Amino acid sequence: MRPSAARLLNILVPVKRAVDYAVKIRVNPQQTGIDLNVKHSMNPFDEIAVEEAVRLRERLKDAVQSIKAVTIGPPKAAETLRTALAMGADSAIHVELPDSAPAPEPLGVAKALRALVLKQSAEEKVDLVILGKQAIDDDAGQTGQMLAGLLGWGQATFASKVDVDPSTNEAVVMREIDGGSEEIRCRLPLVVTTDLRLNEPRYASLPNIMKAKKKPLQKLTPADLGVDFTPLFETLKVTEPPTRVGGGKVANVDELVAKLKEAGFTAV
Amino acid sequence: MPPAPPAWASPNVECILANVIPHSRLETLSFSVRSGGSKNHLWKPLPQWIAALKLNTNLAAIREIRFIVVLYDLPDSTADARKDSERKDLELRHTLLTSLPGYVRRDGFSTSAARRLMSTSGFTENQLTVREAVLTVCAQFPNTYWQERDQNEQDPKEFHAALSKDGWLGIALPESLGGSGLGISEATVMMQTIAESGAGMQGAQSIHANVYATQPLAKFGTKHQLESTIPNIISGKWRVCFGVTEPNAGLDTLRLSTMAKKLPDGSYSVTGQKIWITCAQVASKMILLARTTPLEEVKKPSEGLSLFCIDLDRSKPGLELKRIKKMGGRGVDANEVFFENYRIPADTLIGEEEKGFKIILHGMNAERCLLAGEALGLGYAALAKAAEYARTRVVFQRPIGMNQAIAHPLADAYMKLEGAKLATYHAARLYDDSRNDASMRQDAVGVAANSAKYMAAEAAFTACERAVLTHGGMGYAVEYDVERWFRECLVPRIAPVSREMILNYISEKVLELPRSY
Repeated sequence: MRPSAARLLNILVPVKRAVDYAVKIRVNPQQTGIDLNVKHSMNPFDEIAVEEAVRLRERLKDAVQSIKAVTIGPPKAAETLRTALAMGADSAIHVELPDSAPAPEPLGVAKALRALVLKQSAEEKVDLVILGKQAIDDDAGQTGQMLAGLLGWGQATFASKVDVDPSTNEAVVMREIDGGSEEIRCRLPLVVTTDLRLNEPRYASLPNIMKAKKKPLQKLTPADLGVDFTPLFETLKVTEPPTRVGGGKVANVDELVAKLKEAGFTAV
Repeated sequence: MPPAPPAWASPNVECILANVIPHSRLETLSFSVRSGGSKNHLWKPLPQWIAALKLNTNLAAIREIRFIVVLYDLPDSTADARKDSERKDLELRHTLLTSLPGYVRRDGFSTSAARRLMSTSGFTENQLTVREAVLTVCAQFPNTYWQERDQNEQDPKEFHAALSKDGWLGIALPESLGGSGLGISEATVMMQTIAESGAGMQGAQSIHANVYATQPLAKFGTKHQLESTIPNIISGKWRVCFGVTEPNAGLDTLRLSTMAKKLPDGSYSVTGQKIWITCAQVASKMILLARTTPLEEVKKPSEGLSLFCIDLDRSKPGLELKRIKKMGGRGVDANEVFFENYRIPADTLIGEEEKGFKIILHGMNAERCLLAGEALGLGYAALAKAAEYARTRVVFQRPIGMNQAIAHPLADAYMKLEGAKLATYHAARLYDDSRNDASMRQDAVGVAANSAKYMAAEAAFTACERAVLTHGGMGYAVEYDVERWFRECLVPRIAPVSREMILNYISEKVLELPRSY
């Protein structure tokens, strides 16, 4: 007999509103950044994180007490939270920044998330933070690790499989590493960052989209968390990569090889 | 000595196929393949990969596959081997190009433009949410999918399944029955978005009746009827068709002659003929309008009609379906339906006997709104494609869109669509408001809904025709989609009511002119 679930899990899923993956990125004329007047959606890795939290609940049923999505960003980032709610999160927190504020950096985000985890824990302890391994806009790939460091928690990064056993307070995580996978056993509380192969996020169904509109969405300010998002870095210049010069077409492999040889490539 | 050829990389490739592709929404897939020794190492597993790719339905987004091949230590080919490899090269490229479900030639402009032309200002948050979410579902079904359905006359059942899986068929049905309780304003956005995604009338018609024909059922059905049918329709288990039109009545609906004769045990025996019944081949249920009292015996022709929700059980005697060959939207079947003493139980009756016409009128304005939305979707899709072609097609050393003879008709088509859009969503809002506001006259809704259908159909026709002309010869090719939409855009001009009957209606109801018929 399996021992009955010793404790109930509370999961926090930080999500980021990013330029949609399908949008062609353009540098703005001032060369200070990219054109942001384009379609935005949830960072795909964060979508995987939300999906994983929802799947954990589907597997562990009532042992998952809460799934809370959180975002830090401008007023429009609330749309991203609604997406997370429609996918299956129970409630959401929006740390709202003014539209004019610069995008927060990973360290600022990690500090804010730490403050949030501590604040939440006054009510119910957070056991698991699941977030994307990186956001597709700045590709920093730092927030999860920094958060684990600041909290003094364990971290399981680049997860491709997550098994949580609430009765033993442990998780077994498969990590994607160079040359294969690594399976690690971790104690909760834990920070997990998601890799591409962890799952395939669902489309929100219409009934769930409608339900999401009624789920609680709490708004906080940076001051409520006592964090300062002043950037530590200054972006000097953003430029487009040089235009690629079109290549030639070859009719067959032999011609390709001939061309390669011509260009000075030799067989190994 | 050159190093021994490495173990063939196919496990890696299979790993990519199994793990990466199902998750990716990439448009381009690049494989880097190193091969030593004979080229056969490379060619041999390709058919399996292609088969694996084909099996995978999540490939819709992929439009291009690149194999980056690094060959080393290539043995000298004999002339024959070289010829063989050339042939295989060609075959390979051809197979790769044509076998991918989501593949469309990049240089062929045959994907719907990513940029949507329609202005969405003034739309409600719910409408925008619906548009966004439906687009995501539709993105799994590229234009090539719809070309194939049309060419091969195959029902788009995967599309119907994808929408029903996420609950879209219940958009305008009550929450208590598993629907989402939204209005026709949102359902119209859904239908427009489907058509606009490239699915056109085929996509719209494959679910259309499930959305509007269920309205009278939801409003007038008994508890038992609702609980036994609506959840199955929303889940996609049962599909619905709408059986009103008859060959000998046409637009003169009140003259329909299909009889449902009451038998002593309370059941009915149906005899008669219906025509233009969309999706009857795949539907399990039909919302049927039939006479329960002959025309000669009623005081007013609108009396004596009754509405039923019946099983279409092809194994039972007295039911025959005949598919009609048609101009457009060929993936979705349209049928002649013959009933001959087809028995239906007493509990199939919706609402009161003899009051069927009043009940069905309830759904008609809704249908006009949905049809208007579908027409708009077609129009915007065609216009977006035409504009993209006009921007990029260079003749006489300049993009053809620089010629005002190309640009102005498209600009004109845009304004016509935007005007029709305002009329359409105005009508849809009136319809929704009228459900909660008894003071609103049904005539006002009728005028708005008919006007919207008329304007949207005409605007769509203008946009589709000009899109074909803008494409020149290419507009005549299936690959460019505009010919498909052009063929389909005749539907909203004709159905569910003709342009001329709408003009009659407006003349009579608004201008108070004497009735001509």
